[in-house]
Amino acid sequence: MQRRAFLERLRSHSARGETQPEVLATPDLPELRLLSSQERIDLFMARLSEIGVVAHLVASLPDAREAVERLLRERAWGSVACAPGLSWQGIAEQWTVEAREVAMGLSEAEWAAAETGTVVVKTSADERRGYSLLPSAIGVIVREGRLRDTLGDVLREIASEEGPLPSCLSFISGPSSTADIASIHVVGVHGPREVFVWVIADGPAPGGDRGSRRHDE
Amino acid sequence: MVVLSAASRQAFDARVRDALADEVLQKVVAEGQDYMQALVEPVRAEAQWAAAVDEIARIRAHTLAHLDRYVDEFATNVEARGGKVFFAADAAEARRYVVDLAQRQRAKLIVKSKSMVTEEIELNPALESIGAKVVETDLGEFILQLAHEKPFHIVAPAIHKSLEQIRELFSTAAGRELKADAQALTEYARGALREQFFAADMGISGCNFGVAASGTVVLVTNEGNGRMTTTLPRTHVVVMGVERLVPTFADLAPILKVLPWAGAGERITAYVTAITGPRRDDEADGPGELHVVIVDNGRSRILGGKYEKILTCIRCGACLDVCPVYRKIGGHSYDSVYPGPIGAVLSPLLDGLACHAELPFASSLCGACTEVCSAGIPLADYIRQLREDSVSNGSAPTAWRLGFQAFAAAAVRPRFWAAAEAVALPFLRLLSERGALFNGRGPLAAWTRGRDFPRAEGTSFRSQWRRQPKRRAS
Repeated sequence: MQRRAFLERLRSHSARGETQPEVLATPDLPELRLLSSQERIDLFMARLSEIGVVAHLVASLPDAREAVERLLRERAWGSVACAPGLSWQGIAEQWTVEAREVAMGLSEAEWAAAETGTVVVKTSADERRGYSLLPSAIGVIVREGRLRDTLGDVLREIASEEGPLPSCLSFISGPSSTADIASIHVVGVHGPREVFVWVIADGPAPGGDRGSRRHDE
Repeated sequence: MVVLSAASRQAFDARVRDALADEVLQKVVAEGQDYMQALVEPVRAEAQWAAAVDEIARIRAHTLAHLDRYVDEFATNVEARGGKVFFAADAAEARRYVVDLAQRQRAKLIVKSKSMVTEEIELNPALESIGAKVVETDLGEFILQLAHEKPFHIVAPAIHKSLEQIRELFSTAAGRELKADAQALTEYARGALREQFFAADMGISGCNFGVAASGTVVLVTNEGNGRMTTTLPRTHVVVMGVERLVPTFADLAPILKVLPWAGAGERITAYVTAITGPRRDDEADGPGELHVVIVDNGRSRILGGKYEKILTCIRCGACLDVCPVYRKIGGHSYDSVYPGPIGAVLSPLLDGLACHAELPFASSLCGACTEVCSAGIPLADYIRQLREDSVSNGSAPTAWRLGFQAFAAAAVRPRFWAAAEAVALPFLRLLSERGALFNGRGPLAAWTRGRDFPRAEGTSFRSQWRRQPKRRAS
């Protein structure tokens, strides 16, 4: 059907009347408000653990790297897939850009939400969709400055972004799971079976944004 | 005038009888409902929940009132990001577009992530008819595809299958005996489907929500098959109902608060995937082409009418999880893509009452669906109104219509009523044994087969009323 005719059919049926404003007011919800950054991190760590994510709080990016290296040694994982900008010298020979066959994918979160234990990974030329999807285990680095109280806070920030959104934003809350077989909860279906998160306290964010902005401020 | 065919009525009754006699079904559906209630009930009682439901209703009502504008905005933004948009007036147009595309691209293998609207437009048979292999990758849908069945539930499509039944299906597909263990069966499906994802030429998904302001398609999933379907094949086709839009990302906040709880009993699903256009030129993975098929298929007819709110549905499945009728008759008795209370309303509205004349009657009108609806849709009222519609257009069951005509005639004629009462009460008392009527005959048989008809005790309400001392009007 032609676009114009399709839209006209909708227009002729819709009963807008006087009651519906032209512009929708932003949803106003009684949402969780955390007082301190400590509370925010505490809740985030607790929720990650509830949904089956292994989460660690580290003091700096070098500490996060060390933690990743330790995990690789413990598990005897030989290769990791991640964006070139995220890899570092020392174990560089292990890094690869092919996500299909590697033991772990590593990504950095653009945002995170404490209330739901969610990390948001943004696709780009460097950050492939496969890094946080194809390997059996994935690791995500979250800078405290990118951590928000709620998913609503993240969604409102995305809504206020200027310019086009990335081709894909993946909101990830724990390992892939299902209850489709006889309502039994099983972890690890098509996506990763294991999710690791390293939260870097008070680190500078990718956008140079320090600290957390409060939505209601 | 629509005339209810006796054959369709009998087919419905037969499906219901089969469901009632199916012990596995009776057990697993009840367990599934109880499991969901235990998870969701405490959250639903919180004040935040009601506030979020009100917000969802407000956002969705506004979007519908300006739907042409939001569809236009959405389509413009999808195109601005490099996606293609097709406007399908009905199921046939939508099917033809996807089939032509598959043919043009010589797509041999097509992977799908769960989508109710592709069930609605019967896309799979159309694709199979041109020789394409279509693989459902949601675990529940994968089970149903092996069993050659339709979805039993809109969120948990294979909820009626027991572990053993699934083991048998998977073992046949695998060509070896698998263990009756959910973990092992899931592992088998992961391996089998992963090969398909990498080999597929085309991925087809639904769309939970489209964001008009950014031209984004939002998918809410748990298994990761939605991400695989929209990442690996070179072409991604989105099929969405025209009403699936919200104005901005901010409007998703209340929806993403309620949907995961109501649909899966969890705070958030493992994945929410927001897709804006195909892979950019400098990106290494993701589909090179994105096609968005916006489907009307009867929705514009509902718009602006007395049932408009049904289009605000967020497909959470909560109404199925509380419905006492669904609990007993299961999803397949409805013989419609959308079962349960949502289906009892939506299917007759989309396809016409004539195609689903029984559905508005597959309800006890208890109102549980209305109470739990995540979008505040008055489902029980709608079901009752559809019964009215089916009476006025002549598609109500004949016995039912005659019964109510007789009742209406008697109820407005006090003497006639009194006479009927004087005959009926002693007659019923005569039929009853031990305080109730157990095995009625004739028109009573259908009622008493499954329940007891209590014996009429004492005197009628009307005679008691007459004997009551007259009160003066105050």
